[in-house]
Amino acid sequence: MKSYEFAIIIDDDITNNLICENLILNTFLAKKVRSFITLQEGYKFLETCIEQKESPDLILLDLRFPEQESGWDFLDKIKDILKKFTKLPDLYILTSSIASKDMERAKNEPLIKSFISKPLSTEKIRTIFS
Amino acid sequence: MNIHTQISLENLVTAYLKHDALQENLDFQLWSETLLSFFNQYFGSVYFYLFAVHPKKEHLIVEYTNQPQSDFKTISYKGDAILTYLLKDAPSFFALPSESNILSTCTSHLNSLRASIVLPIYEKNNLVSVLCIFSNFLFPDNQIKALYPFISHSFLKIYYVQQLKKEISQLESMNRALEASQEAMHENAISFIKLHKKLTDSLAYAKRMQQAILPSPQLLENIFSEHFVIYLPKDIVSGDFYWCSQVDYTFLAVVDCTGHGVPGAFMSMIGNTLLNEIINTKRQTDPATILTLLHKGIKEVLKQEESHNKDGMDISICRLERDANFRLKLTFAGAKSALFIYQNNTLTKVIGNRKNIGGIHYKEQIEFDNQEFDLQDGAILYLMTDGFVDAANQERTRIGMEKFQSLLKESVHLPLNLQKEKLLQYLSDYQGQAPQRDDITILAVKV
Repeated sequence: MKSYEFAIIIDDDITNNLICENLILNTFLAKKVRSFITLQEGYKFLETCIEQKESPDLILLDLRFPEQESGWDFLDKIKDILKKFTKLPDLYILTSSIASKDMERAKNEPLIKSFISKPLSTEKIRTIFS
Repeated sequence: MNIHTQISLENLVTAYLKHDALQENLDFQLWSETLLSFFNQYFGSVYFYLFAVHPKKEHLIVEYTNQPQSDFKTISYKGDAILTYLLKDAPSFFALPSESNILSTCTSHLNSLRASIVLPIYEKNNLVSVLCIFSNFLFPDNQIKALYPFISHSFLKIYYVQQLKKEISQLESMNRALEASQEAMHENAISFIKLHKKLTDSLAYAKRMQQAILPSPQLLENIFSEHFVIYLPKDIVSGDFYWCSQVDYTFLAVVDCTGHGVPGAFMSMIGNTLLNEIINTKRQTDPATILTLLHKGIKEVLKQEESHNKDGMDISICRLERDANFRLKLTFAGAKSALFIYQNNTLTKVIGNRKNIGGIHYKEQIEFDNQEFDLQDGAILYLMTDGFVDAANQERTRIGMEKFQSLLKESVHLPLNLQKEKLLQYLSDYQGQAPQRDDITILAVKV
């Protein structure tokens, strides 16, 4: 199974973030994990990563937020930032969306590694990241 | 003075008519004074009493007299045969016998008296007045006999005017009472309108609150490729509601609470709160367990074991997810409700458990069953309350489940917005003028 140094989760669902953080650490998917509950917070963090040496190599991004912007808008905004990273992180969509249009869009987006349907589980981690 | 003995009967009557016509006799007093002046002129000084008859014929009432010293107002019929005679036999004028109560009462203050005559006045054989004239001289019978019908006729003219005035007065009084009553009714109507407005405003506000708890069209648009909602409360607020959440999984529910209107709306708020708590807060994700917890929650919130309250709800709940291989999976649980799934050109009816949430089963610990289905992209789910199926026409015949199913089959190939229009058109045509029986909710989504 794949293993990452630093994972970040961007999702407005605090409970989901807490569960995901534990799952990621318990399955040794990443050595370090951090979560953000707004797109704004996530964006600011990624901006600071350019100057610092530590940047995430795994990003789990939700699509629906209470904010005006969606995960798709966020993705458009961070494209330029990610290009400045020494290594492009693996980006996964983690969502409860069942919409096929979201899946199709995810397939056609080169930055997106894959689409993970919520809730995240040990079994899903092992299947997706093996 | 003996003028009366020298005048012919014809001239006497003519003189009376002229005398009477010259006066403007507007009431009994003026009429009496006119007659009195005639008698004074043609017969000499007389003592005069005009009595009205009490409506119950129990006594005579003094209407007018030229005897200011007279201190009585009424004369009782009791003990005076003359008065009874007047009532029963309707006689013409006559002289009062000496033992008459009326004679002794009217003349008690007079020292000498030679004559007394009574002129009863009848209106259609009904005694309406008695005129008593007393004098110190005798009246010639033939002259009184000649004058009597004219005096009587003249009196009745005033009597009719007075009766008319009384009736007008009564009518005016009734009119005033009617106006007062109309005013009171008007005020009541205004109060009623104000109260109705207050209640309607309050309910309209409650409706806004209820609408606010329903999933937004934007949320449904984001999740599903197509959807429609038919949400027709019977009253302003509804006992039905639909619910959607995307926490961990995508959840969709349609709920029919006991009753409709305000009690139904209160139940819907309880149901909505419990679903939020069970799914969004407690993160329960198993549909069958969610229904069991909802049943437990209703029992606890309404204290049903103590209060024996039997309110409850019917519910269809769907959990939608994509597995690790992105296959779409549906898990359905129902409490006295059904779900329709359309995919692969087939419409399938899925029936939930036969027990409802809360209600008469409040004493029981109810378990519900999950039913799982693999869904193709483009599959359509129809969740509904029994309002559409139970809608009746003017002959009180329900649409029925069979007809509803055939309506769905006829239009499944259409876009969902057109399916909605067809269902609404059928409902409107079927119900006609018949009132809506219950709240109606249908939620259809294309995955």
